[in-house]
Amino acid sequence: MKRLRLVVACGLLGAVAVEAQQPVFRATTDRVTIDVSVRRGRDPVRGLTSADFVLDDNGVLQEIDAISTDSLPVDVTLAMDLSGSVLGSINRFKSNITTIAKTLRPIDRLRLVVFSHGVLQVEAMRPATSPLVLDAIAPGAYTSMNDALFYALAWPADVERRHLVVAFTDGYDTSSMLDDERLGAIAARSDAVLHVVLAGERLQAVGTFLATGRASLVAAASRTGGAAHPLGDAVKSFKEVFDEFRTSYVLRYTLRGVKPEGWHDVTVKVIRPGSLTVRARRGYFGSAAR
Amino acid sequence: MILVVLLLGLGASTNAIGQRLSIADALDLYNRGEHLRARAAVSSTDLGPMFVKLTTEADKWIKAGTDAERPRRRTVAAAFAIDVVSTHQPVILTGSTGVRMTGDRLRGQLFVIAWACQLPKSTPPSTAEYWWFMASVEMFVQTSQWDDLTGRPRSGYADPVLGSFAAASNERQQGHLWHAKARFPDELRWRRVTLQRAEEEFRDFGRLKSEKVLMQAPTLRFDELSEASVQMLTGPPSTEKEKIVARDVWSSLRSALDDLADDPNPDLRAEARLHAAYWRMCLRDWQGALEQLATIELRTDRERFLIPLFRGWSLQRLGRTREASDAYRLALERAPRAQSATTLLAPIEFLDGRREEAYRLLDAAFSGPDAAPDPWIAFRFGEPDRLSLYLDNLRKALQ
Repeated sequence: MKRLRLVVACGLLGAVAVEAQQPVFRATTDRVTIDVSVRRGRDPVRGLTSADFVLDDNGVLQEIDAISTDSLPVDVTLAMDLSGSVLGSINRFKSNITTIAKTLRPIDRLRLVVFSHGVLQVEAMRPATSPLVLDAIAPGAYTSMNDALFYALAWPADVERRHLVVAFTDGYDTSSMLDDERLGAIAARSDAVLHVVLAGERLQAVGTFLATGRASLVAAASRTGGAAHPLGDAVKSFKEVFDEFRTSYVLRYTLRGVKPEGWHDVTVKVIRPGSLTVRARRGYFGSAAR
Repeated sequence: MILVVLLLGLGASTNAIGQRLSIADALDLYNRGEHLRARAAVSSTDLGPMFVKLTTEADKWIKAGTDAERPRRRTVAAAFAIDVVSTHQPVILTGSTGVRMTGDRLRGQLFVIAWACQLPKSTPPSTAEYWWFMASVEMFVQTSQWDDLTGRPRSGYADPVLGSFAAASNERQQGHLWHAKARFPDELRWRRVTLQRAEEEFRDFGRLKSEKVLMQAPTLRFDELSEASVQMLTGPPSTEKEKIVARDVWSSLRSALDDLADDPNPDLRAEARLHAAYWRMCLRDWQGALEQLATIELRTDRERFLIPLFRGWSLQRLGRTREASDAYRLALERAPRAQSATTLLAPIEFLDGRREEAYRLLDAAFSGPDAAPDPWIAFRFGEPDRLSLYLDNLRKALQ
């Protein structure tokens, strides 16, 4: 059974690794902002200009108005599972969260949302330098993971800030009102990037439920351009994710030749020689009302 | 089911029993009406050994009484045992050493209740015994130990700390609820619990979209569904068997529900209809759910919240989003900031591009410091005050 579980877990994470794309799209009026990560191997590619990028929005070539590599401040929402199935992992969640909080810069901000059968924001968005107090957080029994992730993803980040959500969970939702399908739709329309740190010990007995829940969660993360990471690598993964945030390009364009409402397929290419990994979200949801 | 998971891999703890009186002395205190003092005297962080000691010493204490005293001593010991269990939360967080889950509590709960349940009973049943069964059944309900409550065939009981205990094996196989029902056959509460237990099995049916998943659920079994008796097959059945069993369960369930939905007791009738509507939602029979909801009289605040909540839920799945949104808002008028209605309404706002409104709703419900009352929580997870009420009544009945 243990072997089977590992195979399932590796399969899920492997699938994410292939598809993981780093976003962010933010749209105000008809102006769209995109984060694009460009790497050669593990190294960021620096010095690119707008002329190096080709960007299509719903198949229509867009003119990039501005490109920046400014290190934008980041709003980080940490969502921590406190349900019964992760009791053995909560201490590690807490220590990872404490470490992650310390890696943030003074210009960054942090909030903390916890969930079991209910959802609670225990720390509102505030400067990352303020210490987190995690001792008093008590676990519960059930898991309203989808509800909590919706709350996390819905944070209205300022246009000049990026929003990163990191969820610590086993992916085993037992009590959310929000179903997996709807969470996926919300993730696709969210401006945030969702990364998931997955705990998975002692869960072989609920393989079917777990596999279903995890697959949906991983798919939701993927739709934001995020990915899933094993708990053992959480801090290292977060540093990599955060570095990618810091070193990514911010492209801004004014939507032309495309109706603003509805889903927008976006492709970003870099016209430079060599094998480059370009990560950008596959699309965003626009609204006529925006 | 989630709490079943907690039992996995939880080893015995090594803390000493924090007992300040002998079990016999504590039972004497309890017998004299000093319930809380007696209970506190045997509180412990090392539950497994404590439960073993508690039942062993209680047996001796019962036998030490005269023939005339023994019936009361049995009732007192049974009451004391579950009272002690109730003081230990299923989940405990300790500061410096981190989280420790008392899987011992859940195993010990079955152990102690099984021990008490097999003690000889008086005829006719006493009021104290009635409240004892009400409390013990509620313990299983509130910790979601449905297998222990309604039975799991071919299930033994062996625990590294508590040992192999025939009574516990028997209790788990037969189901504590049926023992309660045998003693108090007319109690409506058992029927409500049966509703909850059945619902537990069907909750994920629609969500997972697979009849097969229903059969894979490790806890799947109904010994009895209200007045109907449903024999469930366990193990790895063939596909054909899976279909037959699933169909039979639903058929029996629906039949039992129909009976309860016409019960002369208006509380039970409304409860059954709410559950019937919810089950239909679980099975994605949205129109059926709406029809069921329309038959429920709006009598209590709970119904005034749950009916529009369920209506909205069903309407939304039928694509009637605007009506659903109105229904959720009506529910939120009944229970402002309720997380359930909020989490159903806010996605509509968010996906329609009204993100600020969506976040305003979410933030009102989730930013604390305290969660607003939400009748859905009680409907879904049970009412937390019920156990303490039953234990209070039990203690009073002993006086």
